[in-house]
Amino acid sequence: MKVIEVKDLSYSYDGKNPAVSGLNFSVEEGSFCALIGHNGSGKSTLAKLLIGLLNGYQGEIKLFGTTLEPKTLFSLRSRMGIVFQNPDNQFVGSTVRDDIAFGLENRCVKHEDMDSIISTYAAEAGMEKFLDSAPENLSGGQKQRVAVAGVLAMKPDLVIFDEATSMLDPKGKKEILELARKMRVANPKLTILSITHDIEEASLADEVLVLNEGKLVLAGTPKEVFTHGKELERIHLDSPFYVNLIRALQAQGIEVPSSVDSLQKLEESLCQ
Amino acid sequence: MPIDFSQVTFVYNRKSPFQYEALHNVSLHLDEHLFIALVGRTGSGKSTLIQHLNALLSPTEGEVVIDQYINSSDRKKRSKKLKDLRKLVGLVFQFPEYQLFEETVEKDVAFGPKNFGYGPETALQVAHESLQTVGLNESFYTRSPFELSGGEKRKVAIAGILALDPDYLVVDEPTAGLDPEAARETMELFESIHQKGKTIILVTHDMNLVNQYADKVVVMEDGKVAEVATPKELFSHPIEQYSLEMPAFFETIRYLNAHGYHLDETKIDNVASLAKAIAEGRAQK
Amino acid sequence: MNNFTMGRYVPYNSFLHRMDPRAKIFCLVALVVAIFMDFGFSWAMTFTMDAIAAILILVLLWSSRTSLGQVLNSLKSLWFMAVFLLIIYILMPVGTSTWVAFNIGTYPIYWDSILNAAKILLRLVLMIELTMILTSSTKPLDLTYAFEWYLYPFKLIGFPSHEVAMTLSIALRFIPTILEDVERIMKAQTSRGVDFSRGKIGAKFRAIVSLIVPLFVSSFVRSEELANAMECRGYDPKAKRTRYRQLAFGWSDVAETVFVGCFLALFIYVSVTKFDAFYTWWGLQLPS
Repeated sequence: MKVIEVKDLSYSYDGKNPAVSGLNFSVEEGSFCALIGHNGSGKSTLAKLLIGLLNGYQGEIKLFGTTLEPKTLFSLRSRMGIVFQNPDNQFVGSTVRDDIAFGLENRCVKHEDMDSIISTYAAEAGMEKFLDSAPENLSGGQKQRVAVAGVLAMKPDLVIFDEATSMLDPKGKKEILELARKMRVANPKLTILSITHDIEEASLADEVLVLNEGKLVLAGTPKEVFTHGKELERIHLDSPFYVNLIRALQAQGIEVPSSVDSLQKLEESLCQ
Repeated sequence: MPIDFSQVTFVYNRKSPFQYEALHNVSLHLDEHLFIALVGRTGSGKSTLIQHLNALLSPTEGEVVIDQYINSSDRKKRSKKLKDLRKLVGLVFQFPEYQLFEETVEKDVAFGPKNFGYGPETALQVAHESLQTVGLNESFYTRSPFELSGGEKRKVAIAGILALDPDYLVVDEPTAGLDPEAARETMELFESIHQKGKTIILVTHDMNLVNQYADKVVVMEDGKVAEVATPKELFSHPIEQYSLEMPAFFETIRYLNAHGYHLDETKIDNVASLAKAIAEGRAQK
Repeated sequence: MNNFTMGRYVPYNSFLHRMDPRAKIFCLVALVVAIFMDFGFSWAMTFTMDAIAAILILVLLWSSRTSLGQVLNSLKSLWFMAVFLLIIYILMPVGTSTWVAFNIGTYPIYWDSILNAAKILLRLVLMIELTMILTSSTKPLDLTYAFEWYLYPFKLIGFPSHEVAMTLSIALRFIPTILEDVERIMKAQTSRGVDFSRGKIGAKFRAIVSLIVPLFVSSFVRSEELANAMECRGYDPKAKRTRYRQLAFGWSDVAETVFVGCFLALFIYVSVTKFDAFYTWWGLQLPS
């Protein structure tokens, strides 16, 4: 099932210059898709369009097979969870407990059921010891984990990470990426869309979409996308370290088997 | 004019239940004209340390001496005009774009110089110069800072500090939130300032930047200086105990050396030289 | 690094802390009404009733673990008021009493003036301490829930009490965050040569502007992002929502409210019937 389907999508903020134009792609159920591009490439606009924060787009956006429009917005959003970039500006509650409860209140979950749901999903995000902590006493990574807990408590089919790690320190980034990995293992049908400019993060995905100047310039598995090193360089994106190393080794005349798609596999193959 | 910390201790909220010792007996000597990296996990004391460099904070015990300025715990020993230290030591905080407030870009950049007594024309002139240095041309001068993109705003904020022409430039996570291209541009800017003879102190979590740009690394842990070394020296031993992540290719070198290779770390600087060393290693096998 | 206790709330587990905030607000209002009841028919009764109220309030202060330091702090600003009141009453005596305390030269200082000033001062002190008992034993958020409950009747006639309560609770949650912003901006501007403590009016004004403008801008950005996030999490103030935090009255709340009600009733009785205990019980005719 195509969880996200985008056809000929265009949008302009001022009516003249398109922020995104002619986008065509789809995301299958259960896949982990990374959307990358430098700041200003249109990826934030695309994120806002998919979340339904912008109206008046041209083309088609279908989520779970339903067209995204004002009247379908509320019900579609009940199947999605979004983790935003700023850990403070999505933390509504005065404690961790209250923040996770906020989503439950909005969806009219019964009062009697709330405590156990809150404890369960706080534990999944590793925040069970902080249930009564206030946000000012939490680190950025911890606050983002609370946001993920709040998202998971709604049992979504699609989770969108909108640059969720870009304001975190390396420890916080690792925590969130690990959490995303655990989410996928726990629920193979969960679809994840991660919007980022961190190429190492993108290399962990099943599929990578590359945006530049509002257009989709590359799409495919990480390995496929990274073979276009020159193209990536032209649009000011890095390649992951292991890809650069493979290229440098090839320049030295060393053959690297095509099955190598991670740093670990590369190191192992060099030691055989 | 090196920077000298002599047995500096700093306690937040002294005599209150929320007392917290952020720096403990820190003694540090930083030579000038170097590109120095200050690293350590969140909470290790880095931001407290840098705030002593421009007298935002004064030590609870001990003293910091920069040039003729003495930032001492003893009020009597403290320099009278400690405020002027802020012209000598420019401090750029993390996400500096949040400090912009003037109506136009040039006015905001001129704000710092005006506070230090520059006349209106001189202030504008140095503002224009430093805007050029960060790569913003005349078309930006009269625009409102609030209509710029995030990356452009950050450049304006940095220009605002550069306009004071400080001898020491302290930057806290200058690449946070920037995409790789913008991050590279920013680091190259600091390197070019360094080449002009200024001292750069970079606070960062990114060990790749440390490896690429730093002459010296100061590692903080629990409010103390754990280590002072060159990047190569630092990365020649495990650094996980400081919650630091080894730059990717040192990890690779370590792995390969543990599995039969004999790569010489001191001769490897980047991906290309690493590949060459691997190729030579394989040829010898 | 900034551990900020809002409204001087002191976490403890006294009966006051456990009391339902709605009952506490009711009791606060009732006790304030009681202490401001008029016993002008007799000075002795006035100060006796005030003393009874003071004893109750002292007991409550002790139970709520409000620190002596906080209490003294709250009274610091009152000394000016005390002197002011005294002078006003001395210069413009109220009433027809001729009971003189002493003379400054030939100018008579009536007991009435001194006692009136003392009465008002004492009552102000008691009221301030009552309010402090409320804020030190009640989390600000619980106060918000209590206000929302009291505003419920207005909701029925269209007043957006839920939205007001949500606004208040979000504001409370963000106070520490905004304070951090203030600190950050002040440090950044100080690093650019701003002096927030010294300087002429013009310089001070520019300093404040360099703090307020970025603060407003970042707060607006925060509120926009927060609104988007709330919307994406399904928030609709007009739609039906369930509540996680629910206030519930317990037997102790009922008992405490009834006690305070009786207390108020006693004061009203004494005031309305002009009951003079000293005369009625002991036959003393004290000056008034």
